Amino acid sequence: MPDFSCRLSDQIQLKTPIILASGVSGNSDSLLVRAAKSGAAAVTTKSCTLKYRPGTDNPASSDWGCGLITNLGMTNPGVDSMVYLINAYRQKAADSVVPVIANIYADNVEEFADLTAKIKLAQPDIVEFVLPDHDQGLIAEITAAVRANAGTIPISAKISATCVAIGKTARTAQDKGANFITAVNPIPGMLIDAFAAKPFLSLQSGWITGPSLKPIALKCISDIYKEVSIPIIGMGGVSSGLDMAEMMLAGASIVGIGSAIYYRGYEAFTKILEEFETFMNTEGYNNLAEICGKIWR
Amino acid sequence: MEKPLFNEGKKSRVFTVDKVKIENEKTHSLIMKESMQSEPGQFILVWIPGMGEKPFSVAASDPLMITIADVGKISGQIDRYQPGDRLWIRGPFGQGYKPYGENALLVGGGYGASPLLFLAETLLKKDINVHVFLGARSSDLLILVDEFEKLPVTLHITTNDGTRGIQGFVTVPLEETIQNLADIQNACVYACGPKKMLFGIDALCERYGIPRQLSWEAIMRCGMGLCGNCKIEMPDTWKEPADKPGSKKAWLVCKDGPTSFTK
Repeated sequence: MPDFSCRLSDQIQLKTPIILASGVSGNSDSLLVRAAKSGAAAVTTKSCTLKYRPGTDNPASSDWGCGLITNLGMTNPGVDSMVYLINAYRQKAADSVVPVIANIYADNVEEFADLTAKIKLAQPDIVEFVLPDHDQGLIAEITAAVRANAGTIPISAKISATCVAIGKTARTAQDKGANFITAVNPIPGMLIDAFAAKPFLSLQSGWITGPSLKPIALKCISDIYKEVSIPIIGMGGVSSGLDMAEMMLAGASIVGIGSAIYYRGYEAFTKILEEFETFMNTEGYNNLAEICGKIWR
Repeated sequence: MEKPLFNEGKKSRVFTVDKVKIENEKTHSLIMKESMQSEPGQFILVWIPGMGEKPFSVAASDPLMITIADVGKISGQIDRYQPGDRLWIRGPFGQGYKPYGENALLVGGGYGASPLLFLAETLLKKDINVHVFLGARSSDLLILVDEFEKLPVTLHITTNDGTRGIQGFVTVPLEETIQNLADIQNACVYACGPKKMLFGIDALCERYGIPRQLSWEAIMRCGMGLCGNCKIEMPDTWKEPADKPGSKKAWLVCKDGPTSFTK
């Protein structure tokens, strides 16, 4: 069997390279436990904001044939409750506990600083923060603010697929102290029902995830890999072991899944890893370093 | 035929109301012109454009029927629907009931009876003996009584205020019927209703060791097993399947359920 353990940093050692991405199950401690027990090597909480956000009315999501579209209206319990949730997750997971990545979202630099200082109380293993799409100055300031307030906790800059100059953005984040890059955040989209002559989602538009996001994510990860030396946490439409291999070949060190849980249930973690292992064996890879970014060598 | 470019089967599609049937003062059923292949116990999401989307049980599949209680914004709106009106439906979703054994004991609490008529018809086709237990706070909140009376089933009715049937909880006639079963292992209780009622029925069934299939209610958001809004904790008696670790404390009504099984 190939060696699947991955050392992301001095502090973080994962048993396998497959983790739970942000957005799925991440508003519930017991669902994070379920993801950990189902084989996620790390779990990510849902994006949390300074204050509680109730979310939107239904419909909030749909399978539209080539992927999913979702807009839950940033529903989250707020950072104070998220600290409690992370602690509850660790307690309930007990022996099954895996590292937890806390995802935070804010509208400006001050809020990011405040949020980081608050989420730090839960001592997450990584603080993941969502960067804006353009404005390199703001990207640098936000990364520096999160770095300054996170203490010794590693931080990961999450970059959207719609980001302008994605390689440069990742480079800026690395220069300002990001330990990892998480890529990608999904792209916006819209479903319109022709017969109803209305947008389907209650918030009109949403985020496109699932299989249709994968080729976009592969290009983004490739662009980032060529620019940075820090590990990339790759995600975007991974639902099989081959998808996972492709993302690692593009340059991801580990891979996150989200919509795959809709397509394959919580068993997705073990199924995808088994498929990935078969691929590694049949293609003669001995470890993850051999596959990571291979298309560029 | 040309192969479709991609699978749009999970998207909402247009259904047209064929008939409206009044169940009681607050409840009525819409019978559609179209059918939807589904199992009793599965659910659908009904979308009113510009207004919102809400889950309902499948009350019949061919043609599709939904039973609606006039509670809440969406249900109140659907309440006004007339033959010829259109609504948008996607589904079916979730795990339905699985017919089992020789004797079936169907228990519906209030509006929870809505998937049980479809279930009773399905079980009767398989030559299974059907007992139906309908309970509600008061006679005006009972639904589908006339429909069940037309079927070859043994019907038991309870109301908390005694305005119809036996006064008390539905568990009383249910327990008596369980006690009179010749072979408990060859029977199954199928229940749908509020969480508290299901916990009560589960405890009763556990005492007698009778298999049960319980259909749970929850507030749903995504309906796809992703947002976690409909997560519930299962009763202590429920045995977590080996291939679903962690599901007992975080059971998703939309994806793992709505039906839970002991058999």
